[in-house]
Amino acid sequence: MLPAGTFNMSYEQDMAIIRTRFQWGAFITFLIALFALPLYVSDHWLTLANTIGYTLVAMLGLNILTGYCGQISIGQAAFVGVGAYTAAALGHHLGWSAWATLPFSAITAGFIGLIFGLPALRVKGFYLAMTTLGAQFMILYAFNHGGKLTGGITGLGVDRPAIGGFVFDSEEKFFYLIMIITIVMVFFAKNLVRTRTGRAFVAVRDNDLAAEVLGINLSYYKLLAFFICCVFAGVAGWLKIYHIGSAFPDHYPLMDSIWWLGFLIVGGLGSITGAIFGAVSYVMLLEWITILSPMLGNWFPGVSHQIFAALGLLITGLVIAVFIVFEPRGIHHRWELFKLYYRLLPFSY
Amino acid sequence: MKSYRERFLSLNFYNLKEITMTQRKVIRAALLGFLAVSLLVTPLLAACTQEAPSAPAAGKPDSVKVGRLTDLTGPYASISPPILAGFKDYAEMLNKKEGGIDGVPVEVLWADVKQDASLAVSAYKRFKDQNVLVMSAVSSGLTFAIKKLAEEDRIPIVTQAMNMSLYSPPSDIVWANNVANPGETLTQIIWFDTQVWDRAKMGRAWKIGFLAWDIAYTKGGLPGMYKYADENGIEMVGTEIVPPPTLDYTTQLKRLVDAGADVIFVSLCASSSGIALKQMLELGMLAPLEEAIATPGKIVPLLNDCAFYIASMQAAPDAAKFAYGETPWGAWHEMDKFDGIRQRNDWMIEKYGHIWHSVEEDEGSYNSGWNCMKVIAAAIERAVGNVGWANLDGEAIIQKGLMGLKITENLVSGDLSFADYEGDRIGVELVRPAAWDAARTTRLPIGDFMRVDRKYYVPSYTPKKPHPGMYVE
Repeated sequence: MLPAGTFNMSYEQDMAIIRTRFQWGAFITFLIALFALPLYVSDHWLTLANTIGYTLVAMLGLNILTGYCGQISIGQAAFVGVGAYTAAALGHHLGWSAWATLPFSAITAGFIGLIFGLPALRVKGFYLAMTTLGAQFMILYAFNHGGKLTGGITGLGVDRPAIGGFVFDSEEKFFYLIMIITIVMVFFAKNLVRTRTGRAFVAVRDNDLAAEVLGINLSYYKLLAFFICCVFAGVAGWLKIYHIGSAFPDHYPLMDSIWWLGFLIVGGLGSITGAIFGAVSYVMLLEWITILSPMLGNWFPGVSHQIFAALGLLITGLVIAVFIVFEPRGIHHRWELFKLYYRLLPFSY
Repeated sequence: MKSYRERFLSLNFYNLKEITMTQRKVIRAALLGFLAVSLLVTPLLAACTQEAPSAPAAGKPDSVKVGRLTDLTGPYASISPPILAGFKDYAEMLNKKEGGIDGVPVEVLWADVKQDASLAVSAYKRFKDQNVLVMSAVSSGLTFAIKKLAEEDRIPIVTQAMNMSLYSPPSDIVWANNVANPGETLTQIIWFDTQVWDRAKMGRAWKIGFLAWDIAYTKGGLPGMYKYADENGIEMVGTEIVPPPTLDYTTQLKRLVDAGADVIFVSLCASSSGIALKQMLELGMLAPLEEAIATPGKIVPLLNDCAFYIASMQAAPDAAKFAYGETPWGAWHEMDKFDGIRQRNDWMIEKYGHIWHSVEEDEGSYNSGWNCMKVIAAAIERAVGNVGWANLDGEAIIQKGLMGLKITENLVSGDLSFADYEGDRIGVELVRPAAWDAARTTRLPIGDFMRVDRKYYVPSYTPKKPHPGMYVE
């Protein structure tokens, strides 16, 4: 719904994502605030922002696949790993620069995702979840047993990306790199879902039989959704490996895939804003719990640390459960209601 | 025409329904203006109020901070709590008994980051912001996650990681406080080969099978063991690598026994080894040592360090009495041999009123954590002695504290040294064969300390004669 008193007078206005001067003002203010962040926060907070950045890219991909196209995946962390290992292998064995590896990370992850997306042509729902779960295990097995290509159990290290003599070797520099790529990916995702492809995804999600009757090629769009989802994962993997500096099989665990899916629901499945809310709440909640559990341990020295640490898992699981039961449309829906209230503010109806 | 100020003042906040469209625009303009001004002013205020980076204090600092990454809720959840307890207890004991290091208390900052690389990096940054001088991590995965950052920041990591690639080739950032693979795994095989199996009497060489989890730590010792077996005429009949946390090992065990194994090396983690031992007992594979080596179809289970834990042994008490493993640590009843054990026991009795009382308090793990903090404290103390508090930083601790460090007093293990050979990054390298002491719920040393030849510290090795399932990178 448009703000009261705002009317679309042309097709361009109708298609605009940012429509009013207030929205432009708020958007520019947000960008300035975001890019000024290194001026007034510590390295630790920048690390969190960077983690949110690449987690968001991975969750955006998952959102396109699950939220928009209705295909489930429990292997997203492994696809992030494919992107990371592609960059590491090309850099480590062939001496490629980080920038040259970026498209290959994205494309390789996309094609691997395409392969594991093939079962989506025959199965859906629970069974598709199981096949993508298989992807998670198979890909991690490949990382572990890839010999010199993947470094096996010792993993692979990478050098920091650089442009000429400018090396991305600090959290501040990485912040700008990750934020720019993240904003580009958000922009891409936001626009993708407004295209014919995006509408086809939604049609497949809502009723695949009806979509097929309408002339939508189910096989094509389901596989395309897997491909795009994994391209996002590949980019996230590229960001993650250069941020951390090494690829190691333990860094792409199954639990990440599951938590991301859970927090997409918390944020709001099927909306780009929802993925943003999901990524921010996931990273911040985990961080809050990581800080809180030692504090509780110090306040109650008689109680085992493991109990307070376990509280973290409990709270994270509880948050997902509460949202599924009480607000399955996620924080995004609440945000929309909030905006709607103010858009209608002068009127009582 | 009314000014913006007049329009704003004319707003009736108590009846929002009466707000006109123009007034709405005023509210928006005010809100946007406020945000813009906040945005500009906040960094300036932050810059003005931020403390200037302090120059190294001429005197002693209030505390010396050590960061610890642990895994209380991830895959290492069953072994990490006693390691963390030992780590924190040594710092507490040091602060209480000796007033810390040179009168400066040690402060332990820790975080449960599971095996999550992103959480590890975030916690590392948080600790770095709080000026930690040394980092510590419980596993290879966590050490790998922060190694690059620590290299750039020149902050040393003293770790329990056993993955040899962290130490070979040696870096000056990663230091192992305890024994690394294959030191711990080979000790038992050398003991069995040289002290148990009598080739002349048995008329043949012995045969070994390997059962390992598919993770870095449990596979890390395999290449060294393969090499030793090849060089000493031990026949390898099979390697069974299973994904963690498998709970049924019967097929793998049967295959190894059918292939003629006299010994099965169990390279698992936590309570899984107890389950494997129980299944060996149920399959009739276990017997006392003399009977086991003389009877076809019976085997001797040799356990890696992580498998030879109290939780694993408690899971299968009837089978545990047939198992053998190793220990680099002194046991709680060996106070006369290890002055560090006496010191540790005294502290535990003072703090807890007893020594061990539950499976959570695995002695080997606790000792490992205790020993880790001891290495860190000793390195800091040595560096302070060399460069003084004013010049103490991560680099000073690396160069003047850890490099060439030797500890000879109050040890809970054998010798601890980073000066045994060029590029020595492994603190404890003396290991003893051990059996399980059910009465004392600890590992019972059954031989003298051994030092595994460095030539077996290989990251990869291809056996001369291939065997089923062999693990080659």
